[in-house]
Amino acid sequence: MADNPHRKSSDEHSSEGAAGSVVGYLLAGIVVWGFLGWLAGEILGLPTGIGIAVGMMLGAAGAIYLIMKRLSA
Amino acid sequence: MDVIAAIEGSVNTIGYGLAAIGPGIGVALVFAAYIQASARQPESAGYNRTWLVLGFALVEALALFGLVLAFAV
Amino acid sequence: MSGQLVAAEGLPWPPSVGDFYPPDLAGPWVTKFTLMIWLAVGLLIIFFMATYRNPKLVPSKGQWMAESVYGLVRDNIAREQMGKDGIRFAPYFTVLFCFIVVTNLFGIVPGLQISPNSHIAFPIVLAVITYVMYLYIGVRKHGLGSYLKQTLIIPGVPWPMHFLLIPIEFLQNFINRPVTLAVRLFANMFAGHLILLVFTVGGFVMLASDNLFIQVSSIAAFLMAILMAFFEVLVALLQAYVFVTLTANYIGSSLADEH
Repeated sequence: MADNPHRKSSDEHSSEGAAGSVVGYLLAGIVVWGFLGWLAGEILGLPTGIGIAVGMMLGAAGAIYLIMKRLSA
Repeated sequence: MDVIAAIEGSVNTIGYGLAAIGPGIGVALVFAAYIQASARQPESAGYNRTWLVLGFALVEALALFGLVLAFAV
Repeated sequence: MSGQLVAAEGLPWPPSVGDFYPPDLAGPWVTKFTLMIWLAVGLLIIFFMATYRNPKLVPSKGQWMAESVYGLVRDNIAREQMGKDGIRFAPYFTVLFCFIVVTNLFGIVPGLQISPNSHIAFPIVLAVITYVMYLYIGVRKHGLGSYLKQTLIIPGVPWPMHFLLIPIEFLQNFINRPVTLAVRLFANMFAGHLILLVFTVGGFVMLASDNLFIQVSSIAAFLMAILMAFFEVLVALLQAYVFVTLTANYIGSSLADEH
């Protein structure tokens, strides 16, 4: 929420939009893959925590990959 | 055994508070380095923005792990 | 230090969520918030009608104000976020901006003292309008299939990665965006009202205590309340600006060509 109206000339991605969507993408990735990992762990009967940990790592990695593709390309 | 002190409510919030300290410092370092770099060498700002976004995303992911786990576990 | 903080009579201390529900005025359908929304709508209609009744080349004071609000939104929000396409959305953005500013400022107007946006229902409606608008505009411009393809699929990615990335993109573009839009406005207004309640009501509670030291230090609470009221003006304007900027950004990304 630290967006200020004082920037005049920037490229098409405004800084506030970029900063907002970085956090959004990360949160989305971690939440959705953490949930899928938890679900997989419940179904496969893995020890508690393994599924959600792996899922969250995977989601964070995917989200960072996506951010690098989307925002800095 | 006598109970000397007890905490009511969700302990997860304390955990998330602790987990947010490190990423808080980390995000500050990332942005401080970016601002300093682009103040010393303004023409490198566009080049550095990629690494700004990558560093911010990597650090922020840790904070979001804490946030998600505070709700999930 | 024997001064106990004795709650003053009738003051809601500590502030709670119940303070956000003023009593109904007439039946369950007419609350303070209903009247405030109608008031905001009426104020905006009257303001823009009156200032644009007979526009002149050399504007009067009212016309100058209306024009500078419109110019601010058109140039700093619509054109900056969306380019030339943004001009035709500028009237809607102006009305949205003014509506959010007016309803946010109700939080510090004496007598009204609470912003309708501190109830999640009102930001949800505003965010749903934005959501439906950018989905509809995107589908109308690109067609359903290619709009989904454009928003969900990133070009230049090896195909196994799509399994990983498409759920993330879906959650970000179709769920995160409207939710954060609504929650950001709601949470700022809610927290602002709560801060004002804590400092003003807390000041009165301190004043009602039986210890002179605590009574004197209630001055700090009242000063802080005044400071926070000015801070709320800033937050009201900034949140309206952010809401409209993000709306423009989302609509602009729906309109963007495939890259």
